[in-house]
Amino acid sequence: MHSLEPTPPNGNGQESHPTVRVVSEIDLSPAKRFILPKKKKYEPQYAHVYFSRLKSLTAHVLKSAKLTFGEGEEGKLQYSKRIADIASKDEMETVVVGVIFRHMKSKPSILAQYDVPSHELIPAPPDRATCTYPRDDDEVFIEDEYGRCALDLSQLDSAVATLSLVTGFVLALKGHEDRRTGSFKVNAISYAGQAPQKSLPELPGDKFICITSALSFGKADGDVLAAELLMEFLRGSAGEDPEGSTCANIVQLIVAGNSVPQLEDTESGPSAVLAAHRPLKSGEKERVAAPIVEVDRFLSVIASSLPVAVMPGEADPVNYLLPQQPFHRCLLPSSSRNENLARVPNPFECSVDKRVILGTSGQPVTDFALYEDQSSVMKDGKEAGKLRPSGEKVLDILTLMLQNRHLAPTCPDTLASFPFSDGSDPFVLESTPHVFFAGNQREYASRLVRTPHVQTQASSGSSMDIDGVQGGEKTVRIVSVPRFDETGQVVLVNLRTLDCIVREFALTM
Amino acid sequence: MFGLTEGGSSVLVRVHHFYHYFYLPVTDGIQPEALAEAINRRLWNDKTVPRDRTVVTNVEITTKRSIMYFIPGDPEVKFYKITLLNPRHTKDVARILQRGGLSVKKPNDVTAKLPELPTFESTLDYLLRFMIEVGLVGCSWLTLPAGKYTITEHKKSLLQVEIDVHANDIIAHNPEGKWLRTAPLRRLSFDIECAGRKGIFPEPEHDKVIQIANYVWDHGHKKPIAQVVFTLKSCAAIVGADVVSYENEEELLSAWARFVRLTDPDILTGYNIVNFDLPYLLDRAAQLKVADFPLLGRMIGQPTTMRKTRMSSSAFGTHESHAFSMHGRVIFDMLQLITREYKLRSYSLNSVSAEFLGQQKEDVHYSIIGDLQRGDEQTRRRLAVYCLKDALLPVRLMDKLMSLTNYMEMARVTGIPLGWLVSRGHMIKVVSLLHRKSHLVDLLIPDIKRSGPEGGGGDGPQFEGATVIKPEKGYYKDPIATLDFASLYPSIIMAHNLCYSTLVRPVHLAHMKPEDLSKSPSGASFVKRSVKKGILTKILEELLAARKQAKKDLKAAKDPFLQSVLNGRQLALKISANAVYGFTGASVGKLPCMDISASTTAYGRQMIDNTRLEVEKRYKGATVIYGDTDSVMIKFGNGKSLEECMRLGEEAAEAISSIFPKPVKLEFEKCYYPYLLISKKRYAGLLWTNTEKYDKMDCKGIEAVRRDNCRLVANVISSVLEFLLKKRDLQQAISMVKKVISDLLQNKIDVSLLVVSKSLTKTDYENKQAHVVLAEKLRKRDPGTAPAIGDRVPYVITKGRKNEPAYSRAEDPLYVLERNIPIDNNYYLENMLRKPLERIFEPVMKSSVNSLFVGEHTRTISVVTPKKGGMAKYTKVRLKCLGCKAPINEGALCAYCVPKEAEHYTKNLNTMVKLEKAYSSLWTECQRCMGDICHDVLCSNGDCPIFYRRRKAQIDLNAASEKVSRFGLDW
Ligand code: SF4
Ligand SMILES: [Zn+2]
Ligand SMILES: [Zn+2]
Repeated sequence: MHSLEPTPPNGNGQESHPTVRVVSEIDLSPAKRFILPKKKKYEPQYAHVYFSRLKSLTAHVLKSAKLTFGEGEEGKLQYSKRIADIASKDEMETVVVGVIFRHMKSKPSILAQYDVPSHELIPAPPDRATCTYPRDDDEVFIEDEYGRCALDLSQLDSAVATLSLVTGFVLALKGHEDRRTGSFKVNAISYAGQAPQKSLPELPGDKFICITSALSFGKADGDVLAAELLMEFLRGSAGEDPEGSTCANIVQLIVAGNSVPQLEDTESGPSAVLAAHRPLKSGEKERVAAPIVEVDRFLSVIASSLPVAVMPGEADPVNYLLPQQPFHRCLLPSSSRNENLARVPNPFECSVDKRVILGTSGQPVTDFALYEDQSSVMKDGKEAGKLRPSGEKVLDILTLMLQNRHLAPTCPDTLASFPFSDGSDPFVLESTPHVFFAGNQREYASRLVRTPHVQTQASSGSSMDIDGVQGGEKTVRIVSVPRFDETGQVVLVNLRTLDCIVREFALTM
Repeated sequence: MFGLTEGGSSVLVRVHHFYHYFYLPVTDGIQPEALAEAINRRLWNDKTVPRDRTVVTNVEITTKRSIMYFIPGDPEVKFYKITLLNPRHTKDVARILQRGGLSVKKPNDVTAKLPELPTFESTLDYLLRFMIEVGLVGCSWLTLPAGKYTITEHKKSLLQVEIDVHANDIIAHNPEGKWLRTAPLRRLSFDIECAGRKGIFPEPEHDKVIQIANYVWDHGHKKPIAQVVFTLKSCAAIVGADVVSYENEEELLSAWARFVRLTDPDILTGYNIVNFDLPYLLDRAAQLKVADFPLLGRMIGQPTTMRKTRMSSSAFGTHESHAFSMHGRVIFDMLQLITREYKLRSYSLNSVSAEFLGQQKEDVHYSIIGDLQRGDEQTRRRLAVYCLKDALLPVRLMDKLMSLTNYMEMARVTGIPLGWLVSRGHMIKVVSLLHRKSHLVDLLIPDIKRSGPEGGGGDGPQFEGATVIKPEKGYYKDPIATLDFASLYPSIIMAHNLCYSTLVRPVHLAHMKPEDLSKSPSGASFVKRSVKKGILTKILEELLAARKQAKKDLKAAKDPFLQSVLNGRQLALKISANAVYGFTGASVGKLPCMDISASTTAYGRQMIDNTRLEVEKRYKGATVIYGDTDSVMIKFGNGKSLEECMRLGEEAAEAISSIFPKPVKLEFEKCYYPYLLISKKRYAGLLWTNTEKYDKMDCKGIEAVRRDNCRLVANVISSVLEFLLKKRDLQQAISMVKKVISDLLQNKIDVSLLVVSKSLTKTDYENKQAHVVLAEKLRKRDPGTAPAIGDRVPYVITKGRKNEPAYSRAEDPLYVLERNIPIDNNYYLENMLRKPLERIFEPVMKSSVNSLFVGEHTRTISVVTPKKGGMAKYTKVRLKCLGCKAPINEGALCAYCVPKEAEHYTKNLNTMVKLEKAYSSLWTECQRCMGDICHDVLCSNGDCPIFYRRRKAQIDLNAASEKVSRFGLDW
């Protein structure tokens, strides 16, 4: 299956009976850029990723820097072509463009593992999920293909410096070289700014997409009934619906990762979710079917009445390096038979009635948050020691990603990623989506980000634009999608208005 | 004298009117003037000096004593003090007198022929003589009173100020109180890169110097003053550094020499600069006839010269080195310093910085350097960044290890110039101490005819450290208390007043009162302290008192820089005190005296023995299980608690100390609990100094540091020790070892753990050694990247053909990885693992040790099929079912296995996920290590623990991913 056949739009959604589902034009092809080639090469080094990121973003960053800081002026402000050149600029106000690298002593490091006494002959790679990157004496650098330079951030607000100067972002920095220390004293930062956005054609009526994550079937203390309720709701038979015809107007379900629970034991890995595929040993008879079988059943039921896109997440039995590839057919044998089920990658992008929806199963955001000041990230009660950002923080991070046109900046340094080498970084945002979400978060939060029309001084070089001019007004709904297994909540986004609501399914309802 | 003012200006002080002299015992009836005349005449006759030159300017008679032997009545003796105009002639004059036969006129006009005479103190270095006389020690402050000096207009040196002064007007200060601070010595650290030809280590006759990177950094300052890199051909800018490029090499070299003169450092440092960088530069400059290059010293117009030396020491054997004359600068090579003071697995800059700075260092192989140089300004920039890093590391090491501070303190404590500490052996320290003290009490030190190699000087007597109490091998679960003699040898020397000046010759024994004498267990007799206090005793008392004071000051000091100075001081004092004993026993030394050193060790042995008797007498059930040179290990009995043993240890130390003469002191410091005693000087245990928590795991003489062991051995041994000592679980240790053996035999051990490396030296070519044979093989394979002399050759032992000897089965680890060549697991088990394991388990398991190596877990399976030769390429490899290995035509599974597709898929996926995790963490680590994220890592640092592992992860992941792909994708 390559993509679902575009279903002809049903222009008359509003009048339809709840059991008659509104349909939409769904295009999965944008997700193709996250699909890896059949023959994968794990040879090229990670430098290529940064290199191509710089190649794709430098021009945009420079352009927007000129809007922010003004054009260069003899003797006053200059734009340095290469970072290395600032050495000769005699402490004059200078703007440089490059990729940020934050050196932190306690980043997970496999070399550090060698110093930890252990009984392993060869240390296992550090568990990225349980690490935090406390930040006392970080060193921050900016780098381009010609060299790197240490940054002196003493003139910046420390919160701004922390949040914006994260490994992997391509930025423009204004400041001057401190001859004494050889570092670059930064006094202002400028982003690429949001990528162009496709215009939003009018929709005659309300249509919703539903986003959920962390269904975690088979989780030890999971609320089995909540998933049943969700299923009923999505099939449109949940009885009285307080939102009126909402459920009939849902045109797609996106499952944003972690359909099965994270397994403690790394030794057994994802295979444990398959327990039921093995002949059961005696005494195991009464055990419930393996998690993945549950997932398959759930998806089959939903897909019989609604298009579903299932993305893998950190806990799912797929590859580990981002982008994660779709579930294999053999893991979801029955639901895969239904044309309505799309097994898609993570990150995932599609368009539904020309609304561009983009999101991840949450890893880029979670990893990004680890760079944060610990005090600003709330401690999670359930999983002690594991820090997870608040909803607001997630939204801030998503906003930054949009502004910097990158959806996984910390790849590949602290977020494991595939070694791309074909000169493109698929995580670069060439365009701004209408809905931008991160799954598997601690709590729900949502915000409508409106970027007003910017008057460009010279719009000559705007060949990159897709529709309309660069700098045109943009509207994005950003969403922190909560874990279903912890909150019982799913998110519904109205494609007509980009409004967002949350629905909760739990026994207590 | 070269120095700095407090403000940091450099000063050259020229001292005038100080004349060298030495002593000769008086021959009755010969007048001093006549002796002077006779010597001068002889020198003219021998044509040593022209006729109009007076060498000996003065001879006078003084009363002194010789330091050697106590003579009954301790009479004074008359000596001629012979003063010379120029110290250069000292040797000639002394030789004339030593040989005898000099004709001297007596007052009655009779000519007498002098017999062979012993000279005194003619071998004392002129500079040291001057320092002793003025009371000046190394690295210390002095005052030149206003009006007593003149500033020279016409400078002969590069220093900022030049001063002339009379020797008598110099006021030297003890480095204490306000004179404790050290001067901010200027350091220049540099590293050079040469463009080698493919496969040949750079040679100055052929290969260009292409870059010289420099850090100029004053000692004690937080930041460097300058970072400069000189490059041949253009080089792109580097942030924070100055890049200076030249089109031709002559200009580059001459510019660098100019740079050295301009920055005018006190100290020139780097890594292996003595035996590589400096000789290379000088040779290269000579080759290219760059006339002004050798002018690296501080005296205008005086070129730096270099000569080859042979350094020998018991620790490193004899090896070639270089000595330089570079006026006014100390050459402080961090490689030499670290090899001298630390015992490491490897001394490459990579390993050393991993060890001390906790950072790996990307290493660019010199075969790539040529390519980078031939590239463009960007690739040369890449090289320059690397070269700068190599120039920075030595300074960072110096600061981290406190080397300069410690050396400066050593110079102060022993009173010799800083440069001598680097360029001369250990002996000179004691020589200085001995002369300084003797000078004060009018004792003279005889000249000893020296034999043996120059410069080094042996490291001490070889009969030390005889084990006194044989080790009772075993694994002790009860606490073992350790009693140590504090500063054993120094305190013995003090306690028994052992000295040159207290030693009584057998012929004199009869004339002495027995109560004035003490006889050592080795048979020599010394007078008691009440009769005459030995010079050595005085020196040691002062050193130890000073150490106590330094430690006290250290506690009180607040300023971290002062703290490091004081810590360096107390260390220097301790080292110096311990060096005294070695000095007396060094057979090729300046003043060996076997009676002293043999007596010292004999007393030591006796004391250990007495301690044992005393312990076993006082404590019922206590046994001394081992006694080393200066410590005894006591087991107080079965079932005693740690607390109890500590108390008993404390008490025993106190009680037994009292049976020995002062200042001998027995101290209780630690318990081992548990304790594994393998053999003499080989043991391991958890070390406790309090009852709450052990301090550390202490291992002596146990495997693992040796470089010719692979990592596997080190890791297994340390795991075994963890289990035995920390977990006290023999069973787990055994099953761990069995698991490792089983993994090894089943090819499950990561190749990176099996790599061994040896360095290729010139003489290796004749004999059949694994690394030599492999180097030859590699040269045939690709002369461009093959190892050259001086390189380390890493290898693993492969299975090879039947009956092929091990040395020809060595293979390049990367080659093995890439071609999936089978490893000779048995070789690793039998030749690498077995012995160390047996040694460690023997005390624990006794005769059943062998059970580790036989049984179920030693079954071998061979899974790897070598893809050898050219044929393999053309024979098509049949696909096999990933479930049951049945041959199939396409896809992943055979028809029979298809129903279980999900299971097989997940299994393969799991393998891949694990590799993905390893892959990404390994390669991001390298990218970070390189300090640059936009370029590929070029590293060739085989010492890094992940160097081979990252390549293996690549290969394995590609294979695993290919398998997973066979299950098909449907996007
Ligand atoms: S292998 Fe990697 S981590 Fe090790 S020294 Fe080389 S670049 Fe650094
Ligand atoms: Zn070098
Ligand atoms: Zn099969």
